[in-house]
Amino acid sequence: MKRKPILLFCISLLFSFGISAQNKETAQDSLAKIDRYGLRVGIDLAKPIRSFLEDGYTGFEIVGDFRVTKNFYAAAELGNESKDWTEPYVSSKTSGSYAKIGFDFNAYENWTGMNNAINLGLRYGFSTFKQELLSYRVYTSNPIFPSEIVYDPQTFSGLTAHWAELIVGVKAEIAKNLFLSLNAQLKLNLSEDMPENFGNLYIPGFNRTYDYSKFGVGYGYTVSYMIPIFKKNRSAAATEEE
Amino acid sequence: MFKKFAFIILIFGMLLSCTRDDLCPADTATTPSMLVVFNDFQNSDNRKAVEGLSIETDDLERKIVVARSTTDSVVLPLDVNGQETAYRFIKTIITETDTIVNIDNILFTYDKNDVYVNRACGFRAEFRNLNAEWQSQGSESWIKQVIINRDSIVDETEAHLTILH
Repeated sequence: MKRKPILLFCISLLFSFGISAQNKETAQDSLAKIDRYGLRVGIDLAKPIRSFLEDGYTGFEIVGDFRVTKNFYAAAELGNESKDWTEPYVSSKTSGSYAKIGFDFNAYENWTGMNNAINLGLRYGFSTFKQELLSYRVYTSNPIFPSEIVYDPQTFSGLTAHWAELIVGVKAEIAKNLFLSLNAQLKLNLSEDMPENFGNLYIPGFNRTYDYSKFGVGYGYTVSYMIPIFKKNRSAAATEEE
Repeated sequence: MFKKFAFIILIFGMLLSCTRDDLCPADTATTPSMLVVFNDFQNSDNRKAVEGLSIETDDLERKIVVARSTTDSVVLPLDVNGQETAYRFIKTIITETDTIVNIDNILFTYDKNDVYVNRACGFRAEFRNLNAEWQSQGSESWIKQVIINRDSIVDETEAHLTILH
């Protein structure tokens, strides 16, 4: 199982990157900085693009966050996915909806007037879904009686799953109040309902599962618009914090 | 900013390449085979090797499962696509003057359950209510008795069938 250490290494790299970026730019200017606060809403572009390009996949996700303090944002995602999954011995289809709630921490110190972000986030994810076993073959190592494909579709509905998620991402303001963001997600499966005599090959929001690991990965490419609600003078907030 | 984006994309690429194809590990308990031992008819607790034993499927293809050898135990797979498997147990004795071939047919019937293992291995078959149909032809048969030790074939730890000869 090499995958886990590699993933942890990737994540720790990102962490050190974020922290060093934060340390580099210590604001010394005495100009008053205005921070904009508001509700940011958008969609994950990667999912509709994938739905268009990839057979057996449809997905949609709306994202939102709200700035709570200078560096912290309350964040949530809502989505729906359907995915066909084919393994050499099993073929299945999963569909369902999910919600993720948590927060983002912005580790990037912006220059005056800029509103970009390097985000480190945590989420709690929850999914309700339906798992369909379409066909399977019995695994047998002997060549005398090769197994035939069994077509006996079974549907397992009302399944749920819970997971914790670490998100790292960058966000850039490409026009006033319009943001593009790219993120990578590392997920840890906390619990899942197992269909009787079958397993969850895919969980909406969590993505594919692994036989010997509780981890999952994901990504997002979102475009979002911030609805400005109020502005706050940075110098007042900064003296408060320091 | 571009450098940072490039860096994130690189990390993202690494994450993707970390995933690999799942293969069913060889040590996973998948579909079990039937373990058969051969004991002495005179003293049924004693193991006794069969000389010149070969076993083939009792169908049109006549696939050889055990090549001719002298052995006191064999491993026989059961057909996972149905409820029965037929085998021909062939004892071949070659002397200087003659070759004597003695064939006993056994039909194994069972109930089959497919049990989910994991995504790489899919399902394994488990067999229950194992039954062996064998007709004794008196002194013509080299097999004297067929005893089922365990009628559930869910593992390969102990013999499921004992054949006395």
